[in-house]
Amino acid sequence: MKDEKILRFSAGEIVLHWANAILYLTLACTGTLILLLKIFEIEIVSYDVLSLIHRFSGISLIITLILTFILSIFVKSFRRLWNSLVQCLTWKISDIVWLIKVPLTMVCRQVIVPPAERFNAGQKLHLLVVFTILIGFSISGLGIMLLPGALAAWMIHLACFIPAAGFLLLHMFLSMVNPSTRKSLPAIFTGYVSAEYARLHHPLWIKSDEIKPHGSYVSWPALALTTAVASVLLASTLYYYGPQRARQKIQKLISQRGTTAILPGPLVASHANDPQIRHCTACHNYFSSPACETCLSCHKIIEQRMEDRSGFHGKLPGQCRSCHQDHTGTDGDIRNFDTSKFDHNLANYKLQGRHIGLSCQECHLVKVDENIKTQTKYIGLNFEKCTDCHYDPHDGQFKKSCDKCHNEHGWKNQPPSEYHAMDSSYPLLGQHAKVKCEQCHRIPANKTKLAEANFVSLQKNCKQCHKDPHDGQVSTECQKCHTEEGWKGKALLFSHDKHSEFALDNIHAKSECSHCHQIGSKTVYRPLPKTCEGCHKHIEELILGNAGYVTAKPDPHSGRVSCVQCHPTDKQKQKPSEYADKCKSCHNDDYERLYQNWTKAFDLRKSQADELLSKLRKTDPVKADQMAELITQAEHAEFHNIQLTRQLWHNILSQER
Amino acid sequence: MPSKRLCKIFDISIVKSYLYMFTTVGIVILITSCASFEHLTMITEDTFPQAIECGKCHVEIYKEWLQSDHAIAYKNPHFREATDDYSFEECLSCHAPLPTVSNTAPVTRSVNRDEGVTCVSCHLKEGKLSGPIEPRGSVSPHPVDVNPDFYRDSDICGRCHKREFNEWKSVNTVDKKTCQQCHMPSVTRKVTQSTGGISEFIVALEHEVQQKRHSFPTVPSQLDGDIISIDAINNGSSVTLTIRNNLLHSLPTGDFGFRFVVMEVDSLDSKGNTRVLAKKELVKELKTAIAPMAATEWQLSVPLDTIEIRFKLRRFGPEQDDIVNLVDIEVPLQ
Repeated sequence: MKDEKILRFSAGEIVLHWANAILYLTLACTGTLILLLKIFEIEIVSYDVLSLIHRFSGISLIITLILTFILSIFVKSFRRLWNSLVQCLTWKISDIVWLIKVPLTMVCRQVIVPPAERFNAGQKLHLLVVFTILIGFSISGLGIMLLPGALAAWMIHLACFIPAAGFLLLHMFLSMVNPSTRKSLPAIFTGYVSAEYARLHHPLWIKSDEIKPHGSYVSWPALALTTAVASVLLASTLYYYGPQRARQKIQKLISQRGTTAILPGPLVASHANDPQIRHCTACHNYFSSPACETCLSCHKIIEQRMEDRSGFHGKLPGQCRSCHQDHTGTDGDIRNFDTSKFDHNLANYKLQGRHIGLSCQECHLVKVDENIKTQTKYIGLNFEKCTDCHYDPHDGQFKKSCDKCHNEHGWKNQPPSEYHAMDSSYPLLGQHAKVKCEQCHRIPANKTKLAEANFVSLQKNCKQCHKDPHDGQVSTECQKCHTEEGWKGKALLFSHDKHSEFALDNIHAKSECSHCHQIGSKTVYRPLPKTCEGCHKHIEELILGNAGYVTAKPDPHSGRVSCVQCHPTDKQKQKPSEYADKCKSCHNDDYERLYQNWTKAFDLRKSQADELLSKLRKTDPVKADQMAELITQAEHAEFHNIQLTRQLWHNILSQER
Repeated sequence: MPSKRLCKIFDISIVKSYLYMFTTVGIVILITSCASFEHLTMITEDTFPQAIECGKCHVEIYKEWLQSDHAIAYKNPHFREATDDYSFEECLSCHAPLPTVSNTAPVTRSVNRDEGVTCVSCHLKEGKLSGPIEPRGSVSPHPVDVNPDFYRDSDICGRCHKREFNEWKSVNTVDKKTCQQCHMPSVTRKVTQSTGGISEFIVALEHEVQQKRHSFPTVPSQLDGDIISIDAINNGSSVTLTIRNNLLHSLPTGDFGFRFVVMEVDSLDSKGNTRVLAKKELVKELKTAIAPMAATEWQLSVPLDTIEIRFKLRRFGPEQDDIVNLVDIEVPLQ
């Protein structure tokens, strides 16, 4: 009798137990580790691995259970499960009493618990709880996986963990540590238990009559020892972890009402700092995934886009969460945006030309505040104006749109003259078309680019760019005389007769401008004398008999005959005979001959003087220059004062003798 | 024949004639035996009768001529300058002419040019010394020719003074005076004057005769009438002067050189202040000269308190001091 064994579990039951137990333990371990990770941030294994194992195990467990129950329908040996299940789920009054009395046995030996059947009330309760928890875990687990973000699933899953852990510990304590109950352990490996154990614990099952009271179900020493070992383990772990830190974590857990346990990660900064988001339910629902409406209640721009079916978001199918998941950490990027795969043409702003090759950051990196904090911004980025992205080198000079001159294919697509024609009220004509831009649009000293030059406020009058070479002496209306075609030659509209107060007669028409307008090193236009002697002062002096180093009486003509009487303004170069006629016209016919005589006389002197001069040039160039000047003077004097001229020639010719 | 002719010339009694004739012939024989007078009429390449030779006898005439412009016609500095040191040949023919009594145009002589328009320029004709009056002396050391019509005609002057002569010719008037009548004042004297010695004797025999001075004044000091006559018409604030040129040539006249006339009007007011009201130049070349026997009008504004105006006419020559007062008259204001 002593070695008598009684079959307690069938093979199906054992398989079911272990299949369940292995996965259940795995789930418990990974679950615990996840919780440790969440609550205490102890990362023994990474979350992703844990999560994967947990999820895999969970699904495996569900499949295992379902398979087992399906097998139990078709396979005979498994059918016993249903009996056991019915036995477990059949509750009697005595079972309740049993449950009440068992704890009392620990303190009072006189307490007699009612005799148990194949499964006592504790075992029934364990099965019921585990079964219930499994259903809870399974449903909530599936919920977590199928309805991401549904809060109830997480809460149920977490809620299930507490009884599950408790019962697991209790189950393991009783089956492996507690002396009186661990005798049943072989049953779960072999299926058999000792008859003695069966008689003592399950008298009604083996229909034993001798129901005798047995001692405490739970041994105090075993419990104390277990508690001590657990305490030491916990204490040493706590010590290793740091009590202060642990306390903080626990306080945090409490203060956040346990949400840290299920929180996948901290919210991204923008959500975390949003005062409207104080509770999970701000975004989450209990029984469904966070809805788009919730997101869009804040993200109005996106809502608008989606309504309008415009922009990138307006063209996308699906839910917000299919792309955006939060709880990626304060520094996380909820946008989950793979720029390399992004088709910008889905966005409101189509990329063309040079824009195509740019890196996203060149446009989408924006300044958040003054502290040079930059971050990417995609939606709502202004693009109507170029200056929304581009720095305006023209410093706001051009009020109109940039695309008059610029397009996406580059800044400098046209020759400058065409730019000018495109957006300027100052068409470039003639020589202006050949001028370099910066010659008119001066680049300021502290700037380097042409674009930064002055464009709009440039005056259209000539003196804005051109220095007045006339030094303000003539009209400010340059266009009266000048065109864009050039300064000189045919381009010069200047007509001395029309634009000046001195109409050019034939005498002056072929003169070099400088003859009248170059006075020393200065160019003078106004005021200039209009009389003959105003310019030909030296001639007047000669007429008056003053040749500097030689003086003579004033010529008799002086004061009596005007210049034009001999030099009519309509004749450019008078022939000698015409001059002779002039003499004749006032004097008499003999003066024609007299004129010729004097001309001949002076010409002779001139040729003599030239001969002397050419000799002198070889010997004394300085003196020769002086002589040349004197010769010129004598030539000028000539008929203006014959007696003076005689003296001048005399002086010249006698000088070198 | 010669005696008959002599009687006719001298118009004296035959007896007296014979006496003089013998005396003269005697003296001539005496003089010609001592000296030759050929040089007075001979002109060759390098000999020319000099004025001073003539002046040895015709002392007064020579003196007059010496002071005249004819004497300096060539050597005056203005002419020298105006001809570029005598290089203009065509001018010289009048300023240093050979005798011009022929009908041909004046010709420049080759020697003795300094004497300008000298004695023989007018008076040597075909080897004889010609003139307007009969010889009054008992002897003539040189051949004599008498041609009064020729010498009293303006034509002889007009050979050089061509344009003045034409002006004169253009005037139609009764009793028209010739050049000589104004510019060669009349004088009654002997044709020759003694210079001592034998000349005293010869000259003593000569009779006085009315003849012409050879001073050739540009502005004759004695004229029969006024150079100009002037009328003033008072229009209240202005006066119109009508200035009439009474000369037979324009005022001024002349074709070469430098000369002009200035008209000046001075006013005298009640306070005794004199001031020049206006001046006006008359220049032939500027056509402001007054034509012969013609008048010009000159309108001037006259201050209200003018009580008297004076009209002055001055001639200016090439030199600073070459000023001649022609007219200075009070013009009555009507």
